[in-house]
Amino acid sequence: MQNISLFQDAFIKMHNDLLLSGFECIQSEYPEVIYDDYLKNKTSVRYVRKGHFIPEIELKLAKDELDDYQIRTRKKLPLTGLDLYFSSIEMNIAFKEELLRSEKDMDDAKHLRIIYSDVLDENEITKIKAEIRRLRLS
Amino acid sequence: MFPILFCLFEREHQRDRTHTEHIERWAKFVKAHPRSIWIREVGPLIDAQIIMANTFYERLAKVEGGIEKIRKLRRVEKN
Repeated sequence: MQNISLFQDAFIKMHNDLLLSGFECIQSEYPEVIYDDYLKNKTSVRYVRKGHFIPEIELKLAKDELDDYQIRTRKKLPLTGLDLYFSSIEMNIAFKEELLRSEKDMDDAKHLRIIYSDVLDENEITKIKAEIRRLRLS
Repeated sequence: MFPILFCLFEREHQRDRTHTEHIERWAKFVKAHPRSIWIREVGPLIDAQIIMANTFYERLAKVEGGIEKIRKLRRVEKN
C-alpha cells in the first residue's frame, strides 16, 4: 500500500514536470484521475506537446514479469545517438519474431540481427521467447 | 522508483483502448482539415525519422565491420 502511494507521488511529480515542459496528457489534466482511472488499472495514457497530435508518449505501468524484465535489462544504444533507454536488442528481436510477427516486424528483426550480429546473445533470445509463450501466448 | 519513459511491446490486439482512441482522434483531425494543415503535424516527424535513420547509418559505417553490415542490409532489402 505504501509502495502504491510512493509510486503515485512519483507519478504526480513527473506529470507536473511534463506540464511545465510544455506537454499535456490527452486523457485528463488531473494526475490523480490519470493514476486512478488509467495507470492503476494497467491502461496506458498519452502525452503530447500542448496543442499537437503527434508525436505522442505512451506511458504505462509494467504489468507482468516480462515487463519488469524489460525494464531491468534496458540498454542505451550508442549508434542511435539518443540518451534514452531501449529494450535490449535481444528483447526487441524476441518480441518481433515470437509475438508481433507482422511482415514489418520480421523485417525489423532481420535488420537488428545484421546490425548487432557481433553482440547478440542467442540463448537470451530463446529464453525471452519461452517467457513470451508462457506469459503472453498461453 | 521514478517512472521510466520506456517502450514495452504489445501485440496489436493486446493494445489498450487509448491506442484506438488516439488513432480515431488523428483520423478525425485529418478528415476535418485540409492537407496543408495536417501536414504541418506529420511532416516534421517523418523528416526527423529520415534524418535519424541516415545519422544511424553514418555512425554504423564508422564502426568496425559497419560497412559490411550496411552491404548485407542492402542485399536483404533487395531480396
